[in-house]
Amino acid sequence: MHESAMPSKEPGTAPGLPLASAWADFTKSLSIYPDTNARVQGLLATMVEHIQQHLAARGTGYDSERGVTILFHDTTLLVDQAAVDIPAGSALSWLRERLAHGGLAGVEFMGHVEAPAIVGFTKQLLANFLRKESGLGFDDLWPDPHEGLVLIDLRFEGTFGGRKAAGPYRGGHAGSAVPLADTQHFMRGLLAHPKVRKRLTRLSNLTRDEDGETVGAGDMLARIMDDVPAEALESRDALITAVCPVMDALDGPAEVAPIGYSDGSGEAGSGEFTSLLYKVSREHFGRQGPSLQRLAPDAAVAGQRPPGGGRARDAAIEDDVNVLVDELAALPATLDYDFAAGEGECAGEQLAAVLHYLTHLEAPEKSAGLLSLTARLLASPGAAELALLREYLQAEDANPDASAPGREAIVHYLLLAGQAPLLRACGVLTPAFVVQDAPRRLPLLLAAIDTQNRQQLGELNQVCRALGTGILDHEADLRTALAGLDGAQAAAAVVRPTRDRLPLLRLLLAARPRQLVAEATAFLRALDLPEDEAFLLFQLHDPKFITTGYLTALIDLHLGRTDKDAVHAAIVDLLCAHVRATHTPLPEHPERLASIRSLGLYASAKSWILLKELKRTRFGPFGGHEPQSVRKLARSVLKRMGKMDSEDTPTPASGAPAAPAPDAEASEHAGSDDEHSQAA
Amino acid sequence: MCDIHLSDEERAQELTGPVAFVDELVVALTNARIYAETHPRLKLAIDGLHAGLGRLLEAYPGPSVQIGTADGFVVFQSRPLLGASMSAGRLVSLLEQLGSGGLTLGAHTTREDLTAFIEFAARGTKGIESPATANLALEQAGCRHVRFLEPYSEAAGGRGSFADRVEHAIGDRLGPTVELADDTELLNTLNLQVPARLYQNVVGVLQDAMVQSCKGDHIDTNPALGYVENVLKLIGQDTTSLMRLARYEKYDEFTFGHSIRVCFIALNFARHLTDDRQLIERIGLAALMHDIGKAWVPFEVLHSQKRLDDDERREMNMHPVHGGQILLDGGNPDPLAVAVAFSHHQNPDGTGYPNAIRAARPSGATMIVKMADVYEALTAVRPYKPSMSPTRAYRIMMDMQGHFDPSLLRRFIEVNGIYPVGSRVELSTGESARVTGQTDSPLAPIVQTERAASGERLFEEDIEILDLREVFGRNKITVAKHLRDAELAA
Repeated sequence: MHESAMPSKEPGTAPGLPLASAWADFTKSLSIYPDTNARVQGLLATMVEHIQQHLAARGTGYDSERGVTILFHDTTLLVDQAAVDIPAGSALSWLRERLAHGGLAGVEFMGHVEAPAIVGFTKQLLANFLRKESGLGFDDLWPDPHEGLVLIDLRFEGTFGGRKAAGPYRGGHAGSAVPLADTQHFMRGLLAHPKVRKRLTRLSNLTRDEDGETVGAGDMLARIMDDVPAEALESRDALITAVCPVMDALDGPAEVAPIGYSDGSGEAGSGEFTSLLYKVSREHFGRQGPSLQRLAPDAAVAGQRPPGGGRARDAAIEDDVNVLVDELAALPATLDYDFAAGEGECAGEQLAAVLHYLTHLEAPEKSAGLLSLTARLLASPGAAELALLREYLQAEDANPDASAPGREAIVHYLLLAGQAPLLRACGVLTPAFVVQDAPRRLPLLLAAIDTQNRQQLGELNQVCRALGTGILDHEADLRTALAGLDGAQAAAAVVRPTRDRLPLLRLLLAARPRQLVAEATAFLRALDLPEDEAFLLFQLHDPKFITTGYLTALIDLHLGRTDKDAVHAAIVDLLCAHVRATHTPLPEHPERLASIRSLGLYASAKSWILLKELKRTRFGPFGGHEPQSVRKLARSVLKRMGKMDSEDTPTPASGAPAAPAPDAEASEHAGSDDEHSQAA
Repeated sequence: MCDIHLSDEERAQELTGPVAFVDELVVALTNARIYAETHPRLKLAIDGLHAGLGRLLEAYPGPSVQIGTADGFVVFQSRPLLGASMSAGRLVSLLEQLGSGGLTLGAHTTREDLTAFIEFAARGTKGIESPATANLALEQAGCRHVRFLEPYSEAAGGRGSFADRVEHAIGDRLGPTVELADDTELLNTLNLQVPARLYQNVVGVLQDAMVQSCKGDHIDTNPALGYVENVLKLIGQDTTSLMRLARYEKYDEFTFGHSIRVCFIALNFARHLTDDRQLIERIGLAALMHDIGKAWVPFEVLHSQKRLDDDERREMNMHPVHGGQILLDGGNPDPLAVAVAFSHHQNPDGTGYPNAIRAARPSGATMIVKMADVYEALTAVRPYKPSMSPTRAYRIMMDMQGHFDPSLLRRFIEVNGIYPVGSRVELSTGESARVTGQTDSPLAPIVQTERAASGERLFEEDIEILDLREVFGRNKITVAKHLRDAELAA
């Protein structure tokens, strides 16, 4: 960007910053929760309120029909042209990535924008971010308009070497959406336009050769675009207006011209039609001299070029030594590469290749060359290598070939290779990373390992310790793998309430039950649980009495690994634990009792639970070691049972374990009871 | 040397028939090293060889045809098949090892004969040290019509080596009455003999690497590195000869020519960028091995004569990934070679393939090899396209936005020259000349005149070395245009 063309930056208190932040917070929130979620709704209301406030506060001098424009450029945020730096790692930075992925530089929010349109747009934005199909066009990403929102395309000015040019800044309202950020998308969008498509189809038909081969539509268009004047590139409409007459002018001559691709090489170069196209196009736009490429259309041509190789516009490049000398003189004379400084080779480039193989090879551990090279490259990585590794492991959208499992494989490998400090140096072991990747990684590992294989189990334990469970204690692994994180941060990161965290939670619960019960309870409470279980959790259970068995059963239920029976059995255990821990016979609160009844298992959960507890305390293996208070409780319970059983007779629900009749149970264990009393 | 006067038609026939047959022989031998006798691809290769022999016998009727070898060249009817010799290093080695002067193939040679011969030759001839013993083994293998010949006997003038004989023949004919228009290739032979032998050895190394990787064996790059060292030495001593090989269009017919020429070009460029000899050699090795991944690309795709469809293109685009893997599987790879093989189709602007994460900036080595690769591909002959002049190739490279670092590209063009060393040019005087060196003026290289404006080859005493920056007592001489070798021959 041309610095002088940039609006001056204001301090972090720029008036539009709260609005932009509200937008980012809302978008991020919608990526986690459904749009009915109270938090989402709250943030949406805040955002709409900010829009209205912003529009109301900007006073006169603005076009009343103009909305508030929020644009991102590199690390700068512009709200109605007021620039402010985007804080690194902020939600704004997160939002910018998603916008750019959709070919957007920003959005103009009109005064009449309504919440549903914002939600619809944001859902589309988030969905687009996850789309990985190749060849998506801007129109594919944004098929429908969103009322009250004007999408502002992302643009780049290309120069030799693919760098951004120092061109005029294009902030502000951009009219129609022309996603020049991705010329391939741009070309596809243009090719799909009815006006263009109709003409290209006709020309393609006219130039069909004996084998049915035609000059590629993309090649034709790219060739014409070579000569289009800069002003026609301002918008898609202007461009269409500019190129259509050229195609119309070609219509007649093309009927008599032979075709391109005459050499079968995939190069459109030698065909008469290509020459004709060149001639007509240049005459139409009044071009003279050698054709120059603007707008970085190379990518567009590359995307459209025939698969046999070659480039359409090579045909127009003449064998002219004098032009070559002139062009050569225009290239920078000072060599960018300093070979004496070791730029002849690049550890980062080598690491990129290694990462690819670590990710994609079926059994990277079997390639001695790969392992030795990896070890060599990672022995003392420089800042550039660390940055590359960090980018590879963290930023999914900047990492074209690494699927989540692929990156997991890298992390797995690095952890097993004792490279936890390296991962830490890369900034990989952060709460964000754990939240994003650990839930996916651990189930994969679990599925992949042979539980009979001691070595694999050992490896799994090592990974788990380093990634998840180690977070919660203060062993050396914790310090090594997660320096800079405290237990609360890590736990909060791990158990952030979304359903895909359940597998991880279950694993962690099994490994470190005591530390995680409270977090797990909070986690489950925040989930959208079935009403009865949620009620139970909210109304009945104090986290300190909840058993891991209960939580595991509940998680398994939601993972589809078990059914309600197991959960109900776990609930019984839970209530027994409650009795044991509180030394009070039952939760007396009417709502709690009602909630137990609502489970539909037993007509009298109260008596069933009491009986279970009685059995445990009187006749169970721990009876003699239970505190006296528990034994006292048991005796009192026995006394009260007669009365209670006359009120409630347990009736097992369908599918539930049959509840023994209290009387039968009592008589069955009568002898033992006597023995126990005598012993006491 | 009695058959040196040939008509154009005869010459064309001479170039295509035997050369094609030797190529078929090389292909069959290479396939036999990779595949079992019953493999369809080997059968196909032997079918091709059999058909090629039929054509050869048709063109040169008689009871048999002889393919000879001398001084590292494959010889047919006393003439070297220069291009074919480049890829036939294994065949030449085999014959030399046996002390044989060549092969004779009878007019009744069957497909089975050829199969038995190819199997025998591909197995190696350990313990067999004479043509007679080898023929006995062939007989036992059921091969009845192919035999190894005894070595060449000395020529009448006592000059036994092939080079001597060629020199003798030319020397005899350097009189005013002798027609010299068709001697270019023979003269080239003399000048190119040492680099050609080196070229042949490098081809052998690449063939070995290809065979090993096809079989799934680990490749050993150490022999290749040894030859790269020799190439680098030779570039230092005799740039012209070696770079002529890098330009010789007919060599494009051979499988490994591209990689070797890329190696030459990259080495020549790298030595102008750094004094670190070890780094230069590693760049040379990386250039030599940059396309080794094509060993794993399906044969039908690699040698497709038509435009590749999307699936085939995807297969082809996997070769950088395969290449890196083949080198990694070697056990102790040079990371630079791995990175170059993996990245040589990636562009600094993020385009290209494989679509993997990239370092902020590609290494100098990769950029050197990439430039050499593109330049070679543009200027080489392909079955589907003629060669392109260096000027046009450079202009196309400059138009490939985002593919190269501009400053490095400029340096590449300056080092390689607008008129590259080894190329032929027509001067403003009408004479033709060969470029032998660069000067600080890109349009005024140092040249050696070869032919008069009339097209006649100059006598030795008339040949001049001209620095075109200077004026030689007459009008300023400039380069009028590039000449292709084929253009010159015509």
